[in-house]
Amino acid sequence: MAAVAAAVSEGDAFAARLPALGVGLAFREPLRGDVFLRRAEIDFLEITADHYLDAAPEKQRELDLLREHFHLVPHALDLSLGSAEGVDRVYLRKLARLVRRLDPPWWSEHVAFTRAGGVEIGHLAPTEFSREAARVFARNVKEVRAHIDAPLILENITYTLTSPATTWGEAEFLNEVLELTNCGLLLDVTNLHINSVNHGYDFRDFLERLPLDRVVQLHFVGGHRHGDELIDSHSERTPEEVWDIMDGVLARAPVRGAILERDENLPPIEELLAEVGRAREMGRRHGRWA
Amino acid sequence: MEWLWYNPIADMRGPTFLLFYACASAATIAVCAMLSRQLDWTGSMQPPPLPSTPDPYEIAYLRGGENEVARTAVFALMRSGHLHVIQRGKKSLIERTGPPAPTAALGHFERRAYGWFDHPQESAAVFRQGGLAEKLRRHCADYEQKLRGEKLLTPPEASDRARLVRLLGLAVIAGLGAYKLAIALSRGRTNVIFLILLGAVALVVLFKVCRSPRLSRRGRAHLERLRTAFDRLKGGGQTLTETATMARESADERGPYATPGGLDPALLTLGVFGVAALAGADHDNYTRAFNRSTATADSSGGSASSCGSASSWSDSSSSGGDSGGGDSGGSSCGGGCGGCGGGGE
Repeated sequence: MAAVAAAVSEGDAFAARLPALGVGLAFREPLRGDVFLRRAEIDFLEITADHYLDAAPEKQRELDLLREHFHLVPHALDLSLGSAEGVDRVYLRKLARLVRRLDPPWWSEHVAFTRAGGVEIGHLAPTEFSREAARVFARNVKEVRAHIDAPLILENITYTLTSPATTWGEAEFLNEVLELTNCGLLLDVTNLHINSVNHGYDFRDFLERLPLDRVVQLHFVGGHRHGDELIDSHSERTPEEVWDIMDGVLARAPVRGAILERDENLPPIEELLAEVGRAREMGRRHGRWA
Repeated sequence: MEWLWYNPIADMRGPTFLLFYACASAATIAVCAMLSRQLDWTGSMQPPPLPSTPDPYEIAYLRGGENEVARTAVFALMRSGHLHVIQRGKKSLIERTGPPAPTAALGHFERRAYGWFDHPQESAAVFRQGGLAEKLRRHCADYEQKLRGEKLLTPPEASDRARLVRLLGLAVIAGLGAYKLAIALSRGRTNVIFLILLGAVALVVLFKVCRSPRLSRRGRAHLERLRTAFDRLKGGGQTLTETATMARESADERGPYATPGGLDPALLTLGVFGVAALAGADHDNYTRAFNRSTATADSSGGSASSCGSASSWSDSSSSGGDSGGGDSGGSSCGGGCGGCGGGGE
C-alpha cells in the first residue's frame, strides 16, 4: 500500500507541475489556413515532431508561425523507445534540438518500437508485455532524458497481436513502464476503446488498473470497422463510446490537455471544432481547465 | 589645373574607358542598393501577429494599393452574384445582374464598387483615370494610416534617405560621364553616343534598383507570413472553402454573402495572393477578365500591385528591347568603337 501511495503522489506531482492547456488539434498541413483563422477556438496544437526534424525552409517557416501563435506540443513517432538495441542517436539529437527550440510544457512518444536489428518497421509495433521490455523502456528513456529536459509522456498504442513472450496484461505493463521511467501517460482513449473491442476486455477494468494519476494528455478520434475488428484509422468523428470513456477519465485523472487526432478524411473545420468544443466542455465540467 | 585635363582617366582610350565606366557605374549602383536597403530599419522589427479576423481588403491594400482593393471588391460582388462578366463582340464587360442589390447587405467597398457599375464596364476601365480604383483611393486612407503606423509601408524618413542615396549615385555616375564627355569634346571627339547611352542606362538602373519600395521590409515579411499561413486556401478546394459554401447555403435567408465571421476564404485568397491564385478554381470569368485588364491597367494606382508590376514589366521589357536590340550592339562598341567617346591618343 505504501508503494502505491508513493506512486500516486509521484504521479500527482508529475501532473501538478504541468500547465492545463485545454483542448486542441493535431496539426496537419491541410488545416493550416483553418487553424490560423479559428485560433481562438483552439487551445493548443500537437505537431508531429518527425515532420520538422529535417524540414525544408517552408516547413521551418510554418513551424515558426505556429510557435508564435499557439502553444505547441511535439509528438514523436520514430524514437523507438521499445528497441532493445537502444534509440537512434542521430534521431534523438534532432528531436532534442526541436524540443529545445519549441520549449513545450511536455512532449510525447509511444509505448512501442519502430525499428529492430537496424530495420525500420515503418509503423508502431507493440513490444512484449513483460518486465524485461519495461526495463528496455526505462534504459532508453534514461538516455533520452540526458538530451531532453522537457517532461516526456508516453502513449498507449493499438495492437493486433501480442508477443508469445508476453507475461503481463497491457495495463500492468503500462504501469511498470510509467513507474520505471517516471513518465506521464498520454492516454489515447480511442486506442483503449479499439483494444478493448478487438481483444474483448472491459475498458473499465483496464482503467482500474492504470495509474490514472499519471494521465497528462488524452488523444481522441474515430476509426472505422473492418469486419469484426476496429481499425485505428483516425478518419471518422469520435464515436459515443469514446466520449463515454473520455468522460470517465476526465472525472478521475488530472488531465492537462486533450487533442483531437484526425488524420484522414478531413472534414470542414467546423466539424473538428465542434468536437474540440465538446471535449472542452467535458473537461470544464470536471474542473480540468478553465 | 592641368592635371584635370591630363590624367589616367582623361587619357583613357574610348573602349577602355567604357569598360571602366561600366564597372564604376555597377559598383556605384551596388553600393547605393545596399545602402538603400539598410536605411529601411523595419527589417529588424518582428512582424505583427497574424490577424485573427483578417480583412481581405486591408491585405489587398497592403499588397497593391487601391488597384487590388478594386479587384477584391469586384470579385466579392461576383461571388455574391451581383456582377457578372459578359462577352460583347471581342470585349469582356462586367455588368450588374438581376434586380438591384440590397446595398445595406454589402460591405463598404462593395457598395461603392456596385454603384460604379451602373452601366457595363470593361475590366480595364476599373484601373483607368477616373475609374473604380481611383474612386476607392480616398476610402483607403484608414488602411494607409494603419499600415504606416505598423511600419508595414516604407517610412517616409527611409524614403527620403534612399532618395539622397540615389542622388549621390546619380552624382557619381553622371559626374564621371559628364567629365569624360567634356574631355572628349574639348579634344574634338564627337563619337560620344555610347558614352551617353551607357550613362543613361546606368542611371535608369540606379533609379530602378535603389527606389524605395512601397512595402517596408517589415511589410514584406508580414505579407510572406500571411502567404505561408493561408496558402492552403489557394485553389478553392480546401476545407475552408467547403465550409464557406456550406455556410452561404445555410445563410441564404439572411441575405447574400453571409459567412461565419463575415469572412469568405476565396476573398481572403484573392486578398493575400492576387488574381493568379484563383486560376483553375471556379472563377474563370473573373480571372480571365482581370488577367486581360492587368496588361492594360494603369500602373500608377498601385505601385506594388500585380497590376502595377505586370504593367511596368511589359513597359520595361519593351523599352529594354529598343535600347538593347537596336542601337547599342556590343560588337560595334567593342570592335570599331565608332561612338564610344574615346578621348585618348
